[in-house]
Amino acid sequence: MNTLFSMLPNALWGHPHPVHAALRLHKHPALRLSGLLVALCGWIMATGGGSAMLLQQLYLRWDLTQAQTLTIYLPTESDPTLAPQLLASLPTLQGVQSVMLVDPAVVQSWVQTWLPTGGPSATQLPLPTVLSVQVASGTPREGLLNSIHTATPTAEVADHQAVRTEVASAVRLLQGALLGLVGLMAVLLAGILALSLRAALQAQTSTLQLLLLLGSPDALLQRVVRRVVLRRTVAGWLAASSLAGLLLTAVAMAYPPLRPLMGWPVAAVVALAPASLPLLAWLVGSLSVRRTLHTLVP
Amino acid sequence: MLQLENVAYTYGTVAGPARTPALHSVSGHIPAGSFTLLTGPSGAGKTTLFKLLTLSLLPTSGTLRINATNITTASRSQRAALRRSMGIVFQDFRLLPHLSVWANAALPLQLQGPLTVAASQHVYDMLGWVGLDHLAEQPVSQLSGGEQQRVALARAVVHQPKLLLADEPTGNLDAAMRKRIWHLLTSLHQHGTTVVVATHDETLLRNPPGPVWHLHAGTLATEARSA
Repeated sequence: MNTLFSMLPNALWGHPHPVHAALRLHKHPALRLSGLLVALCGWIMATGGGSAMLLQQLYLRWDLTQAQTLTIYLPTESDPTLAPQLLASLPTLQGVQSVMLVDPAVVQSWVQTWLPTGGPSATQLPLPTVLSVQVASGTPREGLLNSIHTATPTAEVADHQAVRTEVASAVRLLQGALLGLVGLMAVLLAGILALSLRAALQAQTSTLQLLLLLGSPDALLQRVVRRVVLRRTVAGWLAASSLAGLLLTAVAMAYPPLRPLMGWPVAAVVALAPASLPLLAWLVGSLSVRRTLHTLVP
Repeated sequence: MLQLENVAYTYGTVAGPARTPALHSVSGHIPAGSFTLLTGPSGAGKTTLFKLLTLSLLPTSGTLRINATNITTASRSQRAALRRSMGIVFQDFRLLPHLSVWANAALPLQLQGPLTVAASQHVYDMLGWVGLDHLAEQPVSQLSGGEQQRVALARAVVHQPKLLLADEPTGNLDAAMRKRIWHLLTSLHQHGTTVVVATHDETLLRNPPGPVWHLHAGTLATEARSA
């Protein structure tokens, strides 16, 4: 890795060796096309990685809200004075920050979504009274739930644990799929680079053989080939990250709840997700050219 | 300089269906400073021997030493270093058509490191030596066969090798051009370069400047007179 990072700047921006002009690999159609394919795969990697991070941010925010909220459902047959009593007494419990009566119209809209079209209206059904309790983070759940049960034995208290677990596993699954896509693109890209490089080297077999017979060290030819591949890869990386960043920004602009989530973690992942491309190019370039040179001259 | 002990070469792999022996147990010595001709009919193994001497192939058996280095046991980098110490004129020139005359001739020097101003001028001098300095910036694809042959010769000697190997350097050239190429090779030899030329040229063979190796059916038939 030391070798890679110390040689990378020179490999990319240093003055090209005259052998570069002799080989003309950069003009081979397969390598030119590979530049575009690198950009495409890199874009998928950057967008996939950025989306996974955006999803993580969205999930964390949602989960924090759920973790700090308890919902109390008072049955319709409950004492009508119970709700005002709870509104007054619950804030005195340790860890409770606020208690709010959910607007009955909002409760009706929740229920309505579960009713079949053309069926009964939520306004015709007996609906529970719903209280939303905001809890300070870190408050022990057991004690608080026991206190609420003692105060309202007939009430049903939802701490959203089940839905949180369900959503957490769904988010993990989606993130795993996105990261799998990033990995798949890396493998695909390694294959594309290897094939296009092999085609380009095959087209220059006689020139490579001549250079070897004139005494060119393997290392020099490897360096020249790696430079061609690395330059395309880094250009593809920059293009891919820029386009992915623009796309995610456009999505966030179109969907305002996402805007506050577009911070540096998402930007960092978008920029760095295709960072494996130069390393892949380095490895593929070295292995492909080494194999070719050994078949040309003993 | 070049020492061959029972050198043999067979084309084809051990596992392959067709194994064609091309050279059988060739032994001989080419001393430093000599001018040696390799000759023989088509299929005699001349090209195979030339490829072994230029390290394009390694012997299937036997030992080939160049400057006391056994090329079979030498590492790839050692063989590359040996190739840099020799000059090769290929029968088909092997010039790079998209490069200029100067760029083709300068390649061996550029493989050894960045060119100094003096080295760059030396390339022009070598092109002047073969009479092509006025065409230095032309692409080689625009040159005639004789001119390309001279560029190949300039490329072979630009780094002042101790050993020059030339495969049919006068083939397909008219008499005047043959004479000119021959004069260039002779002047290199007079300056101390060891020269090995594979040739069919009867004019050269009638009055050889040094030992003549006659190959026949993959064996060294005679190692003939010295001049």
